[in-house]
Amino acid sequence: MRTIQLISLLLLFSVHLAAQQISGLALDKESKEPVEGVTIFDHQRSFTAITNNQGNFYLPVLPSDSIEIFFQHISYKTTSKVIKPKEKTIIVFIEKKTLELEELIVESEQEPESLNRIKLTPEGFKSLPQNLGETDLLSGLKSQTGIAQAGDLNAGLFVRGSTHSQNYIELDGAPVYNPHHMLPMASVFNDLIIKDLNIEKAGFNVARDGALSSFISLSGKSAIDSARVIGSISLISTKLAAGGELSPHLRWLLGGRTTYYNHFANIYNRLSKDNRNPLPGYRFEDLNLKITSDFINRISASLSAFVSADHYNDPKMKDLFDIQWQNKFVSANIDYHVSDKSTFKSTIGVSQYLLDIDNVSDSGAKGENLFNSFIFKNDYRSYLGNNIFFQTGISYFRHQFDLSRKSNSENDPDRDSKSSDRLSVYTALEFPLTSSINFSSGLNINGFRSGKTLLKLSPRVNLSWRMGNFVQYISYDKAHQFLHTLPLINYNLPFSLWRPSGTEYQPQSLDQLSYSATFSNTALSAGIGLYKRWLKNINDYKEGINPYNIASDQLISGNGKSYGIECEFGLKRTWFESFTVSYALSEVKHQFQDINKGMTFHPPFDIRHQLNVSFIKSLKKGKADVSVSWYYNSGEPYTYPESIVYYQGPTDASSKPIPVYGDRYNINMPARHRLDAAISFYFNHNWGNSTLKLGVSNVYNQANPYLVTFEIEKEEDYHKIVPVQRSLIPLMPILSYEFQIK
Amino acid sequence: MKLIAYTILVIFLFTSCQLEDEINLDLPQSKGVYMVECYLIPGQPARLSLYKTNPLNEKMALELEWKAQASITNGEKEYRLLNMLNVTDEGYIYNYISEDTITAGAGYALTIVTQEKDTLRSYTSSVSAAKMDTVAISGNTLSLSINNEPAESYYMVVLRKYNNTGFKVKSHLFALNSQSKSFPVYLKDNFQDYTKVSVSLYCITKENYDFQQSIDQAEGAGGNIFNVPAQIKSNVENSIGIFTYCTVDEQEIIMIGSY
Repeated sequence: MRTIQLISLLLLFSVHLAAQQISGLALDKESKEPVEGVTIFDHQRSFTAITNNQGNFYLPVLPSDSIEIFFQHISYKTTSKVIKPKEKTIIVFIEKKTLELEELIVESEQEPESLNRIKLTPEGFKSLPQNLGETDLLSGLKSQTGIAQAGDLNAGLFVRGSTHSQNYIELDGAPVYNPHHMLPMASVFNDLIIKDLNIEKAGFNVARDGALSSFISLSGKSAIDSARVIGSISLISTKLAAGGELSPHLRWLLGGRTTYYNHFANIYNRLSKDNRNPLPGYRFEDLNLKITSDFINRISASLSAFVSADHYNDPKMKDLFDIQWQNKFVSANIDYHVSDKSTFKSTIGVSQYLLDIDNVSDSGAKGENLFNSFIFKNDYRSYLGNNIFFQTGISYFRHQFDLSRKSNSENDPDRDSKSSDRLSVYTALEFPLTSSINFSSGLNINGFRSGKTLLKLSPRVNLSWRMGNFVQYISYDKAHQFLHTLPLINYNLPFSLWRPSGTEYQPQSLDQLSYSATFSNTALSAGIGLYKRWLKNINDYKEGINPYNIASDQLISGNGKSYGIECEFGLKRTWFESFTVSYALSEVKHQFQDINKGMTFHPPFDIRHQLNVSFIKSLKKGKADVSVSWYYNSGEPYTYPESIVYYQGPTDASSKPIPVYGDRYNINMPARHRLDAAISFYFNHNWGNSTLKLGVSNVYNQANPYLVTFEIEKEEDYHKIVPVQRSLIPLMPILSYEFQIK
Repeated sequence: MKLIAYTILVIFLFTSCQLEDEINLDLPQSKGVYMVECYLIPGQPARLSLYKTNPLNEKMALELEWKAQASITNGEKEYRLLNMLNVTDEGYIYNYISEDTITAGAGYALTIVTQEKDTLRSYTSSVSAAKMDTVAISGNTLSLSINNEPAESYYMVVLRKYNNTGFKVKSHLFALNSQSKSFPVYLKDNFQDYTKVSVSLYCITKENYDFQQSIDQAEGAGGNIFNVPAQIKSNVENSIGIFTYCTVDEQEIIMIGSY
């Protein structure tokens, strides 16, 4: 209640302040998105202002006469606007310059970024031959240095040797737990409505806590490009997005998507009725809605809603294996600009993950996992004086965990409900030590309660040293994760169950030291990063668990270490539009008392070498481009049987071969590599424009294993056990058509 | 729409590579380990299977272990196991058998000294017998109730199904952990085509229950991403396997009507 009162007071205070200044908003004329870094100046009074990352700017009170103000940005045409004395709010639309090679080069002359933080936009990936033609920023992360993929079926992101459930993923400020789909080629979110993605691998912002490995933040667009409707048809899905204005200051955007793999699977299964290996059924749909208000009286607000539903069933087990899961959230974001140097941001939202599993087999179970979250965040950032940056805030997460499970022979399900509260208070200060060295330090204090109360401190320290285009960063991060995923299955598919720390599990913790050096000029960019991570109370599955027992005691805890080196090199002003090579060398070691007799071992996301190469070449003066990407990942550790035993059983002879497992993660999977290539054609029509992408995924038909199993093969006079790999993606066509209707 | 779907499907099929193929794996060096299976049932001689597991990438064969010295003791009573190959009518293979039948006792100790001078040891406590009171099959559920209250709560249910000619078709095995005197058993198959079902209720030890559970899990994990690899839970030192005592009660049901 006090927090709400405080916010109200701040809002009232801000309205008073607003009367002293003129506030404005610079928007892209086509996309209606805010534009950062626009310089606003007035020749008469010689004042200047620069728009912030929300496109906002502030001007001092005007004289009694009208005045002409100019808006200038390197990628936009310079625009002017005459402002009358009584105007308090200004919205200006600025038009992009024609996209030419020169602009591309100049645009990339931004400050070199640390390898610890990466920002991606859909535009940067549209040309690349991703996912059979589907653009996906989360999958795009796998081509970034230090973020590995572990097989075509595995949608998880493995950042710096940590597992996928140690990433925190949010869209428009609301967390989305288990956001991935089962079809690995499908994009996680509808890219038509995504504006950008930011990931922090180290140098975590002080507001960030609650995850060990990385913080991934996606922002939805507030409007689509000048078109009213945009759409995309690919081999995976059909997507549509439409936007418009509800009033001069209120915009809406609606996006939806559906897949049609299920139809192909049904046709395939019908055509091959005697097939003993029918394709599993799978489908998903999602829907996004966003309503955004422009900047009025220093306040801009948005309401974002998302729902996705996935359904998988395995016809091999005819009505025996059926899984459905859903993600939903609603979030409201309010940005309040106290002054041109202070911003107050507030987010409130609810998020829900629902898993419904129906596995009617001897060891199977029917169960449901409902995971509800409520989030409330307030963040205040301000420049104190010219160079001192101050940030403080508070965030509150409430989670409700409901498990219900019943075996096939039971009527009444076992129910297990828990809740947790996490209150996080943080503050940070950044200031220059010298003209080229910046120092920042922060502390995040976490109070967590679920069964018992825990208090955890997460200090952060950063040092950056800038010498022209060469920048070095050193950071120390501590972070805590209070949510644990139960291994419903052995694979990192989106079925994980979440449980809180407390009486069952200790919070996981991370200490990370990270160094990064980057160089960037008009011709090239290069970067190198080093890191070491110490992990405590991390989890692995308990020996002998039945994964379908939706029970909470399936985890054991241990410690781990990971370290690595990451390199990235890119060319800009060459024959290519862009050319990027990245390589990461890393090692992960875990030690659990109850695994492999307490010896250290390499977990299944220890991927030693990752190499990515990609380029885009423009053709026909920008009317087409060719893109190629190739990756190589060394194989991850995997648990494989040591021998086979013929088990007879206690009664009649039911002799059957049983794999005898010894040490966990005892072999390495074969390395994976794949070349994808595509050509995109850009068309202008009377009704809008369109893009046709054609290409080939897995050009040289490499069979990359997602699973290694064994089979008993009959030779002339004896049987033999042979390892067999199963692959998912053969040489496949890339085909997508995207259109924008004005 | 259908035409497009078929066309795309044909493209997919045409371009598909071998999605399942043999590979060379750098497998860890392993050698065969001993496997013991011995289920003591009162009133029957002790039958024991002793063999070795097959390391991967080697020939599959039942590597029976010969000339081991094997004995079971129950207090003062000792059962010496003779090394001889036996194959039952149902195909069950064992290579050691006692001359005497097992009598009820408190606990049994197994000692095996192999030809290679490895010593394998195990111990099992006895379990009391449970008598079935009512047995009924309805739909996919077998309902069982027992008329006494044994101390143990681990059971195994075996179904033998016979067709009209009296030929045994199939058996099902379930390991259960039930605290109740009556419990349902989920049946995967329906019984429409069968006229006679024999139901055997075994009272088993916890070690036996854990062993069979782990066998099921290990079997399920082979080549299935939806399962977790599991080690076999054994109660035999220097070996994998099970040495256990169990009791059995049997009833027959004649399926009538729609069954």
